[in-house]
Amino acid sequence: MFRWLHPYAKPEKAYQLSMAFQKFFMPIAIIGLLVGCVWGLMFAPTDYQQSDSARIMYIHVPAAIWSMGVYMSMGIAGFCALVWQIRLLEISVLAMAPIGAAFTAIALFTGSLWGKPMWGTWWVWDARLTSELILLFLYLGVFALFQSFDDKRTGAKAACILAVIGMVNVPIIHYSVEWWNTLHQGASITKLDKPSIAPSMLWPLLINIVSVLCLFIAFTCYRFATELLRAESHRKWVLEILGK
Amino acid sequence: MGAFESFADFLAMNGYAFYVWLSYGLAFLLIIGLFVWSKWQRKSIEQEIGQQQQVRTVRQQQVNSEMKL
Amino acid sequence: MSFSKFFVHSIKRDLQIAAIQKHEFLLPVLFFILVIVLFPITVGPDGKLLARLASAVGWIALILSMLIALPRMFAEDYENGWLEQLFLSGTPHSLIVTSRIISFWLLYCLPLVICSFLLVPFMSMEINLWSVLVQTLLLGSILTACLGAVASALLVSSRKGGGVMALLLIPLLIPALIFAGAAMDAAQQSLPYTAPITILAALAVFSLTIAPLATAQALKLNMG
Repeated sequence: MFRWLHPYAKPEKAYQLSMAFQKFFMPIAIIGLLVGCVWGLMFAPTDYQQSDSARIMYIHVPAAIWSMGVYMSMGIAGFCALVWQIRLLEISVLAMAPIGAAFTAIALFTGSLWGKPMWGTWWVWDARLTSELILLFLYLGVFALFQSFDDKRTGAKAACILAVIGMVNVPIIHYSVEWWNTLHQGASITKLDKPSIAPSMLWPLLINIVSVLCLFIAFTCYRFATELLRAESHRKWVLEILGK
Repeated sequence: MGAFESFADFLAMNGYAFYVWLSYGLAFLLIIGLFVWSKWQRKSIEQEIGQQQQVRTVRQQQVNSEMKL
Repeated sequence: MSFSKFFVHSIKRDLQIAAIQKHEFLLPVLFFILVIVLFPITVGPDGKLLARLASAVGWIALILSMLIALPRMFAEDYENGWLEQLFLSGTPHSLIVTSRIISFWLLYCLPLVICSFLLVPFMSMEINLWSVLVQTLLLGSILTACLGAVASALLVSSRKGGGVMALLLIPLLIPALIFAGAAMDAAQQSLPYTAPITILAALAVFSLTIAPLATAQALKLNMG
């Protein structure tokens, strides 16, 4: 069933494929983000409850969704890397970690900036912000673990193990934080995540969500290709590609 | 234009200008930072490989000339 | 050697080693007591405030002293080659790790849970609240030992262990802290608190089944 995938286990093929993916997804991501942000900032109707501060949503929600999504894909890649001993997937876990950390940081900053006019303070222990903060620590843990090994290969495998453990834990953390939040704060904040959203506001949001996904794919492919060059720096195909 | 009366209104964001523009600015700064960092990493690796290759060719030439002697 | 025999034997060995190196396993206990003492001194001797903080202090002290103890979980056996011999002996790796987690829990966690009784006089905690705290600490320390086993196995061969250990362990412990806190809250308002404790127990059992596999993987990685 997976036989068509086999040629891509060769580093050379994987490099070419990821560079092609990057070339394909990067323009989509940039155009999509521009369209989504301009639509969200200029043409989407003003929220009647939160006025124009709700326009932060168009960047906060995609970043928050994909900060979790990146960790999930890191965990899945790490799991497959450990089970089937695929070195390319170990490299991809390391390629994804900084992107996920950047998305998490964006979600944290924008959430805090959104919270200031809504709640009156820069920080509230709201469910989404709290789980984003913990997620940031999880990402930093993957980094720190990788850095604390002298041997890159061992460090990459250790990072994979941690990513898998984190993947099992992320849903538990997310739901327990949500539950903790309702326990302590009541319903004052739930107006931020309304059950239904007007279609005129939904479209720019959806565009941004999809284009942030494309951005993630493009960045991952680019960083993956770079890491692959580093790992295979003595091979012939690398020299051929670099034309030296 | 769109949901706003004028461009000045658009910039003012109903008094939420600071929060909205700062959050968009920070987000794009982070994304661009990640982009620049990835580019820089790649360039430094390319340089490293180039240097390695140079060292290797120089060594090979030395060996070749010694063989001739 | 049968598996159950191996299990008992290896726990007995760990306890005997600890009996020889008494200072090693008393250190986290002392640290635990010191952390508990720090709070009344910084917050002030206000009984009501201290009583409100007591359960949180117990948990924080437990986590901090576990961070002191955890790097030693596999370090010695790893350095003198005992672990490698065991891994080569054909005994299931997760069994080796589970027995080590249990002996670690007996040596380092159980004394801390017992020492949490000091919260009653030091922080004017009510004795029935303390009994709830002990339940959460017992279950939570199993969870901490399991997750800590993974963290310390990952870091066993690296020299920069300490700070990274905290970064690996604490985010994963947040759910346990939340449910323990919920149980303590409910007990303080004399509401039923079985539900959060049951969830805590579920988390402990879940980690006890998953963690040995991950720990064995991590140890193998550091040996290879």
